[in-house]
Amino acid sequence: MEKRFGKEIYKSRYLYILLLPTVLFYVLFQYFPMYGVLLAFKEYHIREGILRSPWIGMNNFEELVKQSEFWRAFRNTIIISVGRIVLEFPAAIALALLINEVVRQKLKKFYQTVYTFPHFISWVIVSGIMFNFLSNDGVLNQIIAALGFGKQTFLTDPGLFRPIIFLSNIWKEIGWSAIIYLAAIAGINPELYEAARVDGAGRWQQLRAITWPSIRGTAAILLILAVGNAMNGGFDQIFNLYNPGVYATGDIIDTYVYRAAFSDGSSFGVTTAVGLFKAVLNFALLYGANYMVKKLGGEGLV
Amino acid sequence: MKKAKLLGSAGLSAVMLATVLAGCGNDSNKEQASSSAPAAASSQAASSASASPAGEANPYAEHLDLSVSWWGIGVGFEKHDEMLQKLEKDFNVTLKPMDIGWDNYKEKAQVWAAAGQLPDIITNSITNDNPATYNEWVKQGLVHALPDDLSAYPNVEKVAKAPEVQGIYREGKLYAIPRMTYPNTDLWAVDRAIYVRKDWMEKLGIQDPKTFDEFESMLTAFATKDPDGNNKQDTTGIVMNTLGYFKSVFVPTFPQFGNQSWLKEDGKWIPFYASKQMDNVVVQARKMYADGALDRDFAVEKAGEANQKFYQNKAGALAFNVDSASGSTGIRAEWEKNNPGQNFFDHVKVLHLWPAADGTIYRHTTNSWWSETMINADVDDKKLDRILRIYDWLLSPEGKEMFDYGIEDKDFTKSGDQYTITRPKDGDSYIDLKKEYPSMDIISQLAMWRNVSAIEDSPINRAAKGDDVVQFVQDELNWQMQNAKPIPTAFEIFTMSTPAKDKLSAINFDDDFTRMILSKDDPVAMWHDIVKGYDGKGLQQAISEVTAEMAKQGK
Repeated sequence: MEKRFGKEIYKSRYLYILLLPTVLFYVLFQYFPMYGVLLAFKEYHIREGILRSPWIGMNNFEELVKQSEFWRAFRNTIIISVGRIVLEFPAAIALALLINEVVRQKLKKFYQTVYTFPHFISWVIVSGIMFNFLSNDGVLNQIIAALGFGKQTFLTDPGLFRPIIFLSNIWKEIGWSAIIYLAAIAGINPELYEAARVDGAGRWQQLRAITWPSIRGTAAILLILAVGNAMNGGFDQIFNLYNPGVYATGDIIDTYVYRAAFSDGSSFGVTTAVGLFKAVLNFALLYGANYMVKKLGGEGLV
Repeated sequence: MKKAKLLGSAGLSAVMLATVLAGCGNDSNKEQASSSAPAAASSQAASSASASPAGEANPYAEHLDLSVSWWGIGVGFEKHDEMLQKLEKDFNVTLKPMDIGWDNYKEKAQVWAAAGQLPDIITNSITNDNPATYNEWVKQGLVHALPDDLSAYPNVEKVAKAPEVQGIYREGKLYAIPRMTYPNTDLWAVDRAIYVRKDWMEKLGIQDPKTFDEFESMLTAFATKDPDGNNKQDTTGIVMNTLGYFKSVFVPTFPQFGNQSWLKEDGKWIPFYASKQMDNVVVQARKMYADGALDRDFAVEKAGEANQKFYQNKAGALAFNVDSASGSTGIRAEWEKNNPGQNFFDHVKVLHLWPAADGTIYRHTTNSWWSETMINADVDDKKLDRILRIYDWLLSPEGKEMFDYGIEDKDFTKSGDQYTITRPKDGDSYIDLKKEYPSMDIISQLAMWRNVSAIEDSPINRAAKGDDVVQFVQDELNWQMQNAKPIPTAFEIFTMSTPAKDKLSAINFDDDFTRMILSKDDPVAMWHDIVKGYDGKGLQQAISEVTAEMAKQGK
């Protein structure tokens, strides 16, 4: 057994040498820093460093659950993440299917470029554009005023914050997310479509019977990954768009931790505890989603 | 063949590995310290540095590298101009800039502290803003205590012995050099100003407001009565540089709100936000927002962003400070850029506040400093001495002369008390020293803010800023001194540290106040709720502790 294993390795030695950098990368940058989670159970003393700081058991977690702002952030994270999976996730699939229906190649490329472009603009810039568009004297309010209606406070209204988050993220990321589906569609054997056409299938029937089943596996994998990221909720976007007026609906765990750790000077221990709490939940969600997909007869990740 | 294959894949791996590890290495290409022979300390430095005991070797003999953090120091030191060179040569040091930004400097200091990468000279603002963090840093030994005997550095000693600094000693030791803003607390009077468009007031027939209600209706009129006559609803009442400046609007309603201090109410010392007087403030602030008297976008604008609305004639008032009118990037220059051919002072004036309920007009005042220099605990005695010598010189009259006039025999000549400015002119005024020496802004403010240099009536200011600006600042200062009294302030509580009071730093008043203004719920009920929430952060405990501490001092 032992021997066979060694032989196996020796036989594929070139492949293992090629794999080495990737393994090293993960060890160095992903696994090694994990010792930092010890902070969640310690009182951090800057001079002593992480390993020598004193243990305090579950104190940091108790501190955390006492804070009402944390639970508000927790609730918002769940709501915003579910919203993203329900609204933003299918949008990319829909766009891929629509672009695929465009007959002229040049036009297809053009649409794809236009939709993908916003992905490359950072949220800092997008938020600036959105302020110009949505502020009190912004374009949208000027149109509303010209039509004789009262101006709206789009950016500070807690009721409008989530819709703005979803819409702006769809606008920014939809093209980018659609690429992988378009790639999957491009890999479908054209003979299938020819055969379907011979059998008299229309565009809609071709989409239902060929295109969708061919990308369903890809969609399932991406859905698992999206669920596994559910506790993150998109720090970049929210941090650049929110303000105290919308904390009630827009403050997520990540933004709350950021403010608590750095602006108000809470302890690093408590904020690490939040991070660990999030990671454990994400892990559970990922496995849960994976299990569901497999149960439903799809290919899982793990 | 096999070998080639092995070599090939190993080589490919090596390339990939190098790519991975490239991010790992730290930037260790340290600049070579300048190899020039150590310059003898210049007479200026020597005269201000302590008289070293006879026989002691030249204190500047050894060349030292000092890292220093400051807002935007990267850009300021980029040119390595003559002023920076002079300082480095006189003290035989190389200054290594470590950049911080206004938006993130507190976070950065915490991150550096955690990573063990604090600079030798740390620019910080925790003694006032966050005594809890200050205690933490002292307790964990991150910063160096100043020597007990500072007689060798008389100018630093003066700061360390100032009565208001005594509150930040810990166990009899001082761990920070406060960056004094003004030599006394009176001069804060011009650190707040409400600029208003007097031409708009005239057009709408509005007199100077005598009460908050009159003030509020004036701003509402700016937003609703088309003061610029373009038949469009495109103007707003008041905009602010930052929320802090806007708070002075409520000083007549509740004086201590203006400087966010503690006050005695019903026999207890309480922070301003827990006072009954907040009820009036929240009602007024909400009304301003609802009526459009207050800029609708104030909560989403970044610092300084809203000033543009004032420059572009879209806002009738701007909350900022008096000296902001001066300088090539000041609000006067910016306004005139947007209104070519018009004189700022013909259209804009500073609005004076109305009397409070007790009939007194109050003016702004606050602690003598809010930020400070700290010295890294890892600094050895040699470096500590050098840093203190530099600071002693920065705080000396010779230092002030350089920051006022530039470099002697280049920018000015001196005979007795007579200064002759010899630096080049740009148009009809002398070129700005800060343009000539980008590092000056930073070096001159390392040890103290020198705000007083900017607002004093001196020939150099008249030459640099123009007579009308200097006169404008002086008039405002005189008016405040003659007509207004400083906000009654318990200065000692700013830096007081008690276990529960230190935890109050977790309260973010500005966020909650903003949230209250934007909300549609009843402002008073909402505010009471918010303050009740503060009890969970130890507010009542802090009140008891501070009240007990003040009782000890007979207050």
